[in-house]
Amino acid sequence: MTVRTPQTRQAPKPPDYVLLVFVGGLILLGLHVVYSATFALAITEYDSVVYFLVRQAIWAAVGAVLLLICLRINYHFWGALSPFFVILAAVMLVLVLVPALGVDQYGAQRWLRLGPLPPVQPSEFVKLGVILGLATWLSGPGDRAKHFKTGMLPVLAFILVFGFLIMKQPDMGTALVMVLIALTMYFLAGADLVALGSMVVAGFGAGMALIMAAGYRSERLQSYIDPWKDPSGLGFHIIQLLIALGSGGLFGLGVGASRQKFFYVPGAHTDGIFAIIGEELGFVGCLAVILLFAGVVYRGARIMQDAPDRFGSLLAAGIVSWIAFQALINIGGITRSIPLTGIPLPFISYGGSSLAATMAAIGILLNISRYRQTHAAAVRPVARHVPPSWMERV
Amino acid sequence: MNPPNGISPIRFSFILILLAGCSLALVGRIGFLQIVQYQDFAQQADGNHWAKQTVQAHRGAILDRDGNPLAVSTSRWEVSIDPSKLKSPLLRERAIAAVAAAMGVSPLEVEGKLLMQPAPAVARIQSAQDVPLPVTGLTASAGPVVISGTLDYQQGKSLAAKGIPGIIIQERSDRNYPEGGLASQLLGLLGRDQSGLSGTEMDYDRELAGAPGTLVYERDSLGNPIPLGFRSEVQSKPGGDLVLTVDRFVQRTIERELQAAMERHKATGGTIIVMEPNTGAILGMASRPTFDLRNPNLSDPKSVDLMRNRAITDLYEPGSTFKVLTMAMAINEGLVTPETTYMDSGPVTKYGIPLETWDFRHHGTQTMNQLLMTSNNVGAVWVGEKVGVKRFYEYANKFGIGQPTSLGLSGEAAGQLRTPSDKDNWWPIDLATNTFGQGLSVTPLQMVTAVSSVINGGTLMRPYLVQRIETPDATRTFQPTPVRRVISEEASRTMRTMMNMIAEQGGTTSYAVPGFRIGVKTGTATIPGEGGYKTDSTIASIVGFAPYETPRAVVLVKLDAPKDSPWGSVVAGPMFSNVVRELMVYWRIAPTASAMVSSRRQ
Repeated sequence: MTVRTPQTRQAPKPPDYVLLVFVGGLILLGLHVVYSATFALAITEYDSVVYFLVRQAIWAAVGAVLLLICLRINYHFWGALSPFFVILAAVMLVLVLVPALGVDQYGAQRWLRLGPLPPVQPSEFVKLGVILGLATWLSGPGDRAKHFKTGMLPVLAFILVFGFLIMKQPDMGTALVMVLIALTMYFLAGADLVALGSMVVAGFGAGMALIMAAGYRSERLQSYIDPWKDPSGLGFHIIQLLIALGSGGLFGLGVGASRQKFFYVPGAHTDGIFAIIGEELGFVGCLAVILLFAGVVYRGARIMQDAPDRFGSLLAAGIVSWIAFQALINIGGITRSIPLTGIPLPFISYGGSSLAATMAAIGILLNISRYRQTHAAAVRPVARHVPPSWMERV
Repeated sequence: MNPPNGISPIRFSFILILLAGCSLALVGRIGFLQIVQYQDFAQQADGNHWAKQTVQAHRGAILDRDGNPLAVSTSRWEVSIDPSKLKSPLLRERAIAAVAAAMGVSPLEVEGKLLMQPAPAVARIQSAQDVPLPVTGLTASAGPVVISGTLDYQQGKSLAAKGIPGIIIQERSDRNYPEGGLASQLLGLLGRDQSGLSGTEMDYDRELAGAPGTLVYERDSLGNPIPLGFRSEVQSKPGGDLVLTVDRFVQRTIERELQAAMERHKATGGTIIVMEPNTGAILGMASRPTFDLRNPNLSDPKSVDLMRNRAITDLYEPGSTFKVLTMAMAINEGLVTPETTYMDSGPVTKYGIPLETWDFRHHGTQTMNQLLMTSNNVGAVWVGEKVGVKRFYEYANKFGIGQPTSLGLSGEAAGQLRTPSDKDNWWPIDLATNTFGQGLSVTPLQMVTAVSSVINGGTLMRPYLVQRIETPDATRTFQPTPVRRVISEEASRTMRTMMNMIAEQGGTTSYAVPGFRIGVKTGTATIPGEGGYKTDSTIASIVGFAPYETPRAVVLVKLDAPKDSPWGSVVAGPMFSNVVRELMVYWRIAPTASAMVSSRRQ
């Protein structure tokens, strides 16, 4: 199977190293904060200060390998395989609901244990699958996004099928991120604004209905609106997150000095890690994290803009919006800007599946960057010999 | 114009601006939380994390006059394992091994205890008055299992220093009583919360307790100290040791004698007090019924009642022993001498009430000495009238009758003495009955204090029980405290002689102490009941001193409602004799020649 487009025939350029530097910065910062947030927990519960750090570092290494592989594989390869990935994603989401294979944690079934392999969180890979599927479909011949049958209907089908499967776990945060990614891609692909607008309105209505349908979600909404109504019960988590963040001040308490990590902040090393960053490194540290993310998004957006074809562009858009929305929703929840949902902060939160999946996605993004069309190149493409292989030399 | 990838620059910019807007809003929000609201959240964080715990100070000991411990606190370590903290088998194994090594047993044994004993190590409340140990952050978490309550002090300390997760080490304090149940009422009970509930433990609680220290530490949301967190301890200040005036030998002697007499005479109660007449120091003080410090039963109100120190809380009518005081008044005023005579021509009727002698015999002309020897009520009334109403009550007040002695223990009764100034309650007949110790009530301690002043040269001493408080920094010594002079040296000498003559009158007396010269006065008092005096029971008592030449001890013996004989001389006399004989031997006082003669003469 070969895919040949005029754009990919040109010799690949070096990847966007600046993007790599930003991502590397986030991962290193993440390793540091994971260590600082867990060493006390690790020594008391696992008899090793580096218990969590070592595991996160191993996953970072796995992610780095995935990143390097994806960096070398022409991104069109994923487009050709996208039906397979979409089906695989759906199958994984079904398997996680099977009691024998899914791991129940905190009242939700989000982990998949296959044999002796470490348990993985399919949701993270599903996001990648959905991005691939949508990018492939929307970049197909003709202006698919513009028409109801080829645009709104398939996008809606994607959202409904995967949204339903993810909500079965249940995991509203991930579902929300997935919907936002899909809508962003649909919008950029040239969606009919009336169709998109009605989907946004309907989606908002459906979201509210889902919140009201589950008691714990409406409680969570209540705790968002007024956490101090029940400070030791429903409001405890959000108040403790705010105390952690707020008590950090301008420069923080210092590296490793967080006190809120001692069972006050929920998921101090996972979903709540941004609060610990705020407590230990202060406003300066928070700003640094947000700037690093902004850098990733900005460089990603540039890659998307400069992508040689529609598929590459939409693929980049999906990956960038994934990281952007997930970071915004995570930090927004911790700062009580929006209701709290349990999703990890990309590259930083402890958790192997998220780290490996996002790093693989960055690898794909970097590969797209190798075919960037500078303005001049777009005007005057240089035809050069291309090795007939998916593996490319960097 | 769209680029080759067909993405609308307008839509692209829209998304970028949307994301940038959201990010800026978030940065603003974070800045608001971390800079504007910083003070507020920092305060809340401090409220979250700082925990304060009180560290009990080591409680001082209670010692007898020679420094022998009567009540002493010992510390031990209680070691518990909290299985909920041991999530991995490795941690569990290590905690068990460390505890086993400290205890000197095999890990298997510790493992067994951990499995066998699911009850949490929270203090169990044994009775209503028993206060449970304060539940601290260390005990509050669920499920620690006590492995040993008696870990060696050094072992415990080094185990605690290791700070192994899952192992909880707490200092526990026990009160030990090396002399057994000796002086239970005097010492008093110590509660589980380490505060005195009765007796000396209660009244000197502040001195014994010391100052508790405080431990300030950072805690996690479960209340446990956080690993590597801040920790600051203000050391507790140990309490002072209380050195009593009590002599454990004297105390043991009187308790043994009292217990034996209680059983022999089937009495309902009794008291013996031994006092140093010149200083007011209590050498021994015991009452029955009593309780055992080592095994108190606090759930029964009746046995709680047994804790009170009857020698200072309970009143009785002293009866004829009071004649010593009446006679001392008259001698001191120069109204009579030992040889002064009066005429006992039969019962006297005062204000319509006939007053009789105890044996209904009438002796005709008697000297004052003979009056005391025969314990003649009619004679006492004659002496009292010579003293006169005004002076009689002045003297009674000076002897401390009707006022607490200020021994230093709480619950001391004042006694009852109606005086002419109390016009509603005092009747002229009261003077007559008061002269022979009826119609007024005293505590045993008041009586022994008053008699001490009669024979010690005439000065009323404030009785005291604590002679020294020794804290690590300082020693506080309590000196004998004279309250007032009541009678002259001369009168006191005369009274000693007169009391000695009671002891050395012809015939065999129950209270004689072979080889030693003593002075005594017995008493048999009727007990006030409903609408008059009971006819079937008495309080048999005796108060005396020994040796006659230089009195070392005033001893008061009182037995309530003896069943076999009502008389003070018959029941209380032998008890007095036994106690004094033991004391003379204990103090290595040589028998006197004249006493030998006098005892041979008997």
